[in-house]
Amino acid sequence: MNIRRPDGWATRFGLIMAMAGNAIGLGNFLRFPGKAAQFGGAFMVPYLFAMVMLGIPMMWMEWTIGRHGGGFGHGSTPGMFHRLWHRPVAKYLGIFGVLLPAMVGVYYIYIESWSLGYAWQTMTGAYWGQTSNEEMEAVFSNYLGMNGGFFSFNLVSYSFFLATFALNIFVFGRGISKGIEVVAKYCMPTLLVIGIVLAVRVLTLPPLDGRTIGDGLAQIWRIEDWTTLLRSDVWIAATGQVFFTLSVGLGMIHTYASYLKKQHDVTLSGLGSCATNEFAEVILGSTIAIPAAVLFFGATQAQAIAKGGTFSLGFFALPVIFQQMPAGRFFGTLWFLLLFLAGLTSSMAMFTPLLVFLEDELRITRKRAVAMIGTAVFLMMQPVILFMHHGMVDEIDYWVGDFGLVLFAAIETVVFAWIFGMARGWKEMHLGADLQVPRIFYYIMKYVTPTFMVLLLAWYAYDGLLSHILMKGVAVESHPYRWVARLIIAVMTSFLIWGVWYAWRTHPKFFEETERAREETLS
Amino acid sequence: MTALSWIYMGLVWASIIAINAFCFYRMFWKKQDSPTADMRSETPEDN
Repeated sequence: MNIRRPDGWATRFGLIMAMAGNAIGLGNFLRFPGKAAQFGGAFMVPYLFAMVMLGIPMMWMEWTIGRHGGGFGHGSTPGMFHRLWHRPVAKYLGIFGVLLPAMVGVYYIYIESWSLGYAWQTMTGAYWGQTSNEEMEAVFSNYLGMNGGFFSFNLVSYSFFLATFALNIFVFGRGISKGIEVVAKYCMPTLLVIGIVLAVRVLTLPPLDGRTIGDGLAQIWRIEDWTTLLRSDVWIAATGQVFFTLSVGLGMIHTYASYLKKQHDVTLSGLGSCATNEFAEVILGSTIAIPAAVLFFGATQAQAIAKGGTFSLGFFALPVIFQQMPAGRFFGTLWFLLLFLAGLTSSMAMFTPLLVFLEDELRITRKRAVAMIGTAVFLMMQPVILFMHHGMVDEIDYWVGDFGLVLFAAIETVVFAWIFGMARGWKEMHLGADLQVPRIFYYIMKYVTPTFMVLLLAWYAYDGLLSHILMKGVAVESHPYRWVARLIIAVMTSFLIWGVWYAWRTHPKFFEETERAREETLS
Repeated sequence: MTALSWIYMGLVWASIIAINAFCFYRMFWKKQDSPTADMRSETPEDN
């Protein structure tokens, strides 16, 4: 069966760039070096292990699930899961693949807009003269409007947010071939070139106060204490990073792959998009921020900065460094443009599953669906932005971008490998394949990946679920705002549950197999 | 950086670059598919 769907990928290069762009995000250049530097060279061992055991197999699974579901006319995971597992619950489990990316998009676009704002501020030299981390932290708080007032509001940052939001809606509203693919084809090569230019600049920086760039690289590549590998936190952090960096467990890859026909390859393309992401993360991501921070601040302070959070490295430390570098404004602007492009190529995918769900399953026209999503998301973003100082972003991030992601990844690996069956899955994966995957991956995908995911989910639940539910460590005055964040997620979830319920009662395509079977019986 | 660290980094970087080269070579040169070849063209299987 191959139901023809409107739109689709125009070229294979565009598809690979869009898939890689979906994976390459802010995390490649901010989160990865921060995590790697915290644990030293030991981090890379579990990271590479998880990449082979979880990341690449899950990438293949998601491409396969997407193409398989797309063949039945489904562009989002409720329909795809319905085709994998003929039980009523399957389509409701698939809701996660629409909910999670859309909710991540609610705060991700705002964060992405900071990069654009900082690119502008760096180009104009707006913060020049603030030459310490503490001063840059104050600049950052001021940029977000977090000055102790009731709202977190700054007209400048809000303007950049509006521009970024409009750009995202414009791109994804134009669809796959005319919007997402066009942007990916131009932005991804630009991003990689900017990354290479910055990496070469950092690698050629002269020694400073007896420190060299080699000392910076050692933070990520030198294993000083092998016993670090026995610690569970380094394994959890590395495994989590593999998820975040590949954007698996979110539902976006499924939607992109749903436009493929069954004669289109998924094995080589899936591996290619992983490899491009790893080039951006391991080679470029590890070469820019941490080596520069170690050279200018020393290893101890660089580690402290890395532990200070995802943004302390990119938004506090690096702007200080750029001010001390020759042509610092130029390279600083490039750095924030790099982050912006990385963010854009990821965020433009985030509302696509929801858009396709509205179009395919609820049969809403694209124009109306884009207007609905744009309005709803914009309204949801307002409390998130205005009460950011109460941790609304952190709350949504935990439920959808952290725990939810691991939960959905565990569900989909179990559904694919154990319920749909790995034998069928392997055969489906190799339809039209340009690469015969080594047989060992059959066993990895059948036994290791789902088991690993279920154990990881159990660990996530044990490690922090209860304390997050009870809001331990959260200031009492922030509790109402955190509840508002939960309410936003609950409203979105309720809408999707209703949407699936409604679609499966009204949409004729769900009954086509029953009808065909009945006709065959009658004849 | 110790000599072992340089080797470790070099091996990982070389592996990533090699996998990239392998994938893109297989995709666009070995199959002699143009990177801009239309993926939406009609095939008998679609009908």
